[in-house]
Amino acid sequence: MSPAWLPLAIVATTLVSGVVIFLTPDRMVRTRSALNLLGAVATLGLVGLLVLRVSQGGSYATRMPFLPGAPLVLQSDALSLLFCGLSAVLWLITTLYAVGYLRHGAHRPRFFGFFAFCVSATMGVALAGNLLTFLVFYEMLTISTYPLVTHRGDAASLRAGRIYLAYTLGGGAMLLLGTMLLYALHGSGDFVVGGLLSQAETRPGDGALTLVFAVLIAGVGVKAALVPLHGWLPVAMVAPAPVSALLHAVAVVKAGAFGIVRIVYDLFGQTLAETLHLLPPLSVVAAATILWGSIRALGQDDLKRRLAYSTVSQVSYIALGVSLAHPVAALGGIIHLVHQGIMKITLFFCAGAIAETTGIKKISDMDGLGRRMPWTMGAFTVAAIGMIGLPPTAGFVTKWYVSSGALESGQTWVMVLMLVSSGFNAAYFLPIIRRVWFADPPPGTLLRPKGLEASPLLFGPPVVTAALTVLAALFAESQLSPLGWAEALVLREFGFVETP
Amino acid sequence: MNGDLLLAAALAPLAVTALAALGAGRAVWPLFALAALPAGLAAAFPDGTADMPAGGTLRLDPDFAPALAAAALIWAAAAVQSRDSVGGDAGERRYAVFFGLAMTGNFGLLVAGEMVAFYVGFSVMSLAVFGLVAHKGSAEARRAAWVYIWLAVVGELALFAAILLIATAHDGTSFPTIDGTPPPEAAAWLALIGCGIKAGLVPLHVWLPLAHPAAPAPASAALSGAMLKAGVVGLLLLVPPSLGTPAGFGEAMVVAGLTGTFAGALYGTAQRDLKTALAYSSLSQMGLAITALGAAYAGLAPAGAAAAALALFAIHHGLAKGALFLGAESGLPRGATVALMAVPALALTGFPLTSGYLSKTAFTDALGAGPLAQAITVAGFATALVMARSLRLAWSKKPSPGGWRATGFVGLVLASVALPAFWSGGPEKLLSGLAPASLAVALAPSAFALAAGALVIRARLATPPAPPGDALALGRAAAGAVRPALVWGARSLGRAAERLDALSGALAAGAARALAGRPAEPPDRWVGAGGALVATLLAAGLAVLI
Repeated sequence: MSPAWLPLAIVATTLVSGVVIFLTPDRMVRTRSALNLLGAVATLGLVGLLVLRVSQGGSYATRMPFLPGAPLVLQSDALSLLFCGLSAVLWLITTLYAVGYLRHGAHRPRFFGFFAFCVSATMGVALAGNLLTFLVFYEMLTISTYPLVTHRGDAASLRAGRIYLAYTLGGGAMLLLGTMLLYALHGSGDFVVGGLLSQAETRPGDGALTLVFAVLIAGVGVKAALVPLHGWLPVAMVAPAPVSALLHAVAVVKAGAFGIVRIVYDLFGQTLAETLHLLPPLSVVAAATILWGSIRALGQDDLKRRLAYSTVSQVSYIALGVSLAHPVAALGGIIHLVHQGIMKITLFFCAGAIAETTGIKKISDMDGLGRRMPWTMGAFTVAAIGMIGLPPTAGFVTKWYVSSGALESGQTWVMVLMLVSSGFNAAYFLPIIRRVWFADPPPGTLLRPKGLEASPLLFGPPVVTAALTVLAALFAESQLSPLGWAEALVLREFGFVETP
Repeated sequence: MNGDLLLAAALAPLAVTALAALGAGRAVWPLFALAALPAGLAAAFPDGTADMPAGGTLRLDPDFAPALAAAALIWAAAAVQSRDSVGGDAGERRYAVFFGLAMTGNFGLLVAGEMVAFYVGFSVMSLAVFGLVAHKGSAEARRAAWVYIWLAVVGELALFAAILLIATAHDGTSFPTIDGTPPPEAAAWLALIGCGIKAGLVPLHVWLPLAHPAAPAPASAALSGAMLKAGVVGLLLLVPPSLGTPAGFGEAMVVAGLTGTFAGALYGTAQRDLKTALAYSSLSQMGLAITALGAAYAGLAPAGAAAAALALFAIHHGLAKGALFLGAESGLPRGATVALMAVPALALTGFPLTSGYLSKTAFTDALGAGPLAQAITVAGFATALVMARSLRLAWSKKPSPGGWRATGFVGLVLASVALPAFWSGGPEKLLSGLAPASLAVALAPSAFALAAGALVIRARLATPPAPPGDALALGRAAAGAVRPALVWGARSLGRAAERLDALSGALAAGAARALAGRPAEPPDRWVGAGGALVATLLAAGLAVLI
């Protein structure tokens, strides 16, 4: 196979996996799970191959005619590979988890099928080479997540699904509007290193460009859960745990955050964004979101809702890092794409494993749970420490780079914000840690289950991702770490690299 | 070769921690004792650097070799005692994991070659101590752990900001000591908060007298003997006295240090629990170190002499206080325990021929003949009181069952007698304490303790009940007064936030109804939509292929 087809092959593999899963009857659990894992492994292999080729200096693009003057383009660059790699690795882990989670569930072909479509859409978003392609896959992501949010089919799920659609379709409409405006005004929406508009010889007026920027950011801001467009995220927590874990903590919100990175760096470009003063307002929105999400998380007793508000807060670290107009801060924002993903997926895996094994969903019922499910709660604790941003976890690396970049560009308030945010994170994670490890379990509960604490498919995945959280920090200096990748990327965008 | 030793010093305890996590049971305790060996050897040969496999460098400053030696011995002795004191508990595995992590962090921060490695070690140690303090699970233990973890997190954040500010100003993460440029002013103050919390700097010390009695005795020994010193080490590394500090920095530390020295010792004398009294004595002793360091910052003492005195103090106080805490659960009969505990207790008062005499002389030499040196001499009397009280409390404590644990206690008492002399520059210093002039000064606190201490001992019921946690108790009373306002404020903020979110959600739901005009689609109907989507995409793909 010619490498030029690799980007398309990645999207197609996930898509075909989805179709095959749909066609496998519900009762053939083993066959379907095997096919699903085959698809996930094949995707991981293809992404690995692409990473290898690109790191050797290759650059691959697949072009398909679509609209006059606006083809669909799938291309590989360092940023897309970072997101692709994250999605491929976590899809494999989540598939294992979901097989364990839905062991006794209904409508499994529909669930796993749409799950594969979602991953396909995420891969498309990651590999999109221009704004139009991005838009198409971004919308596909919306459509294929709806049946997963409403999977249980009860009234609460349907209501949540409706709210989810209202938000995401609204965001999609904004993105469509922005795309049309850009293509009408400039004639192209290609993602170009250094920024399409920064490098263009002629470009539309400043006022029009500012408007386009605002509309586009509002469009992707819905999925990135920027305040006040974040309302769908906590509501969508009615979905089964694997959906919350992979999609709402990683794929969907990251598609939004990833869109912000693309729009700022590859469409507008650092230079133009600074000339037009586009970034300070984005910093303010991101800062407000970070605080807002934390304040709301404090008051939640439902574990998944608290995690959802924490996601709202944490994902905005990415937008904040990108908006500070400094390479080191950008580095922090971009690695948080990966770091927040592995940490938050761990937390959601744990929440699901707890609910499936013990039926506990509220934090106030979690007394002494550490004795009953030590591995699960151990993984939870590691990820929570990562969220607070203490070493030796991935969260610390992010916090270090974002604050460091902010200081170097003279924006001291960002460091204060990061400290306050860490304080908030501690305020809503430490009580959970204290409760599970040091409170007495309610009388009559089984302290140590006979045999394993839960199905190995339920507590294995969070243990693996928690280990990744620590490894990503300990081996941050390595070329293969998320930081190593992001460094190469920032080098590309800014033309140089500074590390503290 | 020595570089490998540094790496082994940090990694050996981590490897045993992994074994503990996997459920190695009681076998981990002798292994933990062995895992302190590389750190001890590294302290004996303090030169060389190593690159860590994960990036970052390791390096042992010769000034910190005594602290590392003390830490290695204390952790080894604490591991031996943990085997009997915690072994067999329901939470032994959990305790062993936290114990190992705290040990790893403590060694790690001492051998860290640059600021981030130091911060990682410091943070791992701080977080792990939470598990040691909370281990017993009693109401007091939980409260102590809760106060501790919050102060620890605040300290971590302050230290993070300090290190970040230094790294930004210096364009790199090497220590200011190596770098040779003073840290920015804000960084110095933040480092003082971050390190001060750990070192028991008044008024950030409130966790200390709560945490020590709550933790099992071996953990208290490691906490007081080895881990409190991390705060002083951190300050020396991040804000080197030789490079100059913001105005008022050293003076503030001297005031806080002297307050801690005297108030800590006197407050400790009024305690009714052995480990609480010992914790207050630690607070008082750390006060001496903070005073000396502050004097160096304020230009009242030469930086080099102060650093040397602090190094000696680290090994003297570390071993002596570690031995005293282990004595709380010695596993020996009452008489033997108290007799053995009297040795480090005397040392702390500065008795001739002991490590305490050396440490005190080093302090007074560094401080010259001024009032500060006199204050340190006078502090010996306060220490004598709290030590007399501690020995009395140890006498009335029920002996713990024997086992291996006595080995750790006796070993540490012997080490506290023998080792510090090595770092003082030969026996002449030690013997100089026998000269008539200095003998009188040095013996005075002990004589005073015998007289006044006897009163303190007799008057044990007459002492007012002094709640452990002193300032915290006051703080709680104050917090009680403003609590309703705070709760109301927090609730209103939460409610307002919730309403705003609900409003935006309601708008979205309304929009959804207006758009669709009918009930939401059940997911099954969506399969058609999904199918159409996929068909389109596949067709598009095929079209391209053809």
